[in-house]
Amino acid sequence: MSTMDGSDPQRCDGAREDLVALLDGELAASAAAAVSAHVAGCAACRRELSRLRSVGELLATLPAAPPPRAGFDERLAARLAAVDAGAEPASPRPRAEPAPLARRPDPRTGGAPRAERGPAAHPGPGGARPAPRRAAAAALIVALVVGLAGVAYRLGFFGGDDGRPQVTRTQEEPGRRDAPPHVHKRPDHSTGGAELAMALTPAEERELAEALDVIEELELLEALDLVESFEAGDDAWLDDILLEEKG
Amino acid sequence: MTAPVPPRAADTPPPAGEDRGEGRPPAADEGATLMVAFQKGDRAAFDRLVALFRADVMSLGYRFGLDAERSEDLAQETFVRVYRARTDYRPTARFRSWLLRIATNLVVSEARTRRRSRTFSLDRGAGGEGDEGPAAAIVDGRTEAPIQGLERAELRSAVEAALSELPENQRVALLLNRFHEQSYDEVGAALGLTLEAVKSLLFRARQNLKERLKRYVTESPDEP
Repeated sequence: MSTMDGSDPQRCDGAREDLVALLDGELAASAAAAVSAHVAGCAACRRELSRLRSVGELLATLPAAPPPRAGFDERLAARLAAVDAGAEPASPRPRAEPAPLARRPDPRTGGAPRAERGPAAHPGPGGARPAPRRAAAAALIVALVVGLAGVAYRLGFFGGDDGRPQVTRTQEEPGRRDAPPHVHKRPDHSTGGAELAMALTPAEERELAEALDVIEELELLEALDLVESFEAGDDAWLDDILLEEKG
Repeated sequence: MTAPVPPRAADTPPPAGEDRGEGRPPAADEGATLMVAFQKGDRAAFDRLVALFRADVMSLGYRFGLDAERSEDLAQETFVRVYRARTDYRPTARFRSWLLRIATNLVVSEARTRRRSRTFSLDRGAGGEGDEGPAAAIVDGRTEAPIQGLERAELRSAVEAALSELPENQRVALLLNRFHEQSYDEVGAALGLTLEAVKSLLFRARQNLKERLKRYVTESPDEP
């Protein structure tokens, strides 16, 4: 349902995720045409597009690296000569593979992506890992779970009588055609969460995005071997820690 | 009714070469041609590769947040690895993308190492380490719209700080796309992500920057 400035929260939600790709010229022609058409008729999305474009302009202020110091070529030549002579310390094989942050298929997860781990990231003999690392990993996971639970609660995931997620998109209501854009309904717990809103405030959107980034950071930690197999059920060591802490 | 927005309007990534301190970048895939020549024993071709791409690789590290000296070390290591990999290289992808994948691995590894040792500096601002020298004072003047009324140094510091606060995967994806002309596909190949994941990553990156830089972000209600 459109508001006076032409915005339609549901269509806007879909279009906004495409705005950056539109600016980057990465949308297929049909998708670009659809998003452009929406933006043309939606003042809110035009403003958002303008802000995102402005961010791109700000990025352009970042300077390139200063020129290398004198002797760059000579130092490189010396290293290459050492390589040819076999005197250059062995470095890892050149990798044009995905960066360590990458997710890779993991047979233990049925092919689900998993953070890559480097050679130095394997646990010690017997799979034992230093206690400080385990404690740090446990603390991180506890914080993550608590944080995500908080976000989920605020979004209404725990509002149903049956305990199942109850998040639904806000239903357009008769008589609300004049509602201003981006009216954010709070979950109505008095109805048992039967009519919860998915429209998020900007702060909630940020919080959710940050929570997702925490997951990405967790994957990084996994790559560092601070956390092992949080997605593969290999968490007996964590249970031990949590039980110890409770005890 | 406002006219539809053409893709890549004013936000088109900088044309090739604008981000480099050294001349124009290689055209088409001159890099692949040179690398193949190097494989066949033409050492001068490798030297030419270094000259063409040195600034490109250094700038990836520098904008990521490494200081000038470490960025230079990163470039050296990248080319040593290219040198070692000469027999493995197959011109199935753009040479530049292949090169940047190697550099990206090194940048991310550097961030990991520094994070472990807790010495990774995120405050390389104006006047900080690596900012001395004539080139550091040059803020490229290719902004699509002039930003008026702001101290350039302050603005640059704010942008650098905001960028440094992004999760590493968002930061490196943004840099590869914005400054190194890597398509979403190529960013995905470098980071091992799907196209949709790259799209989401870059969306979140720019949203995060928008929030962190809200003081400087402008908007035009008549944005076409």
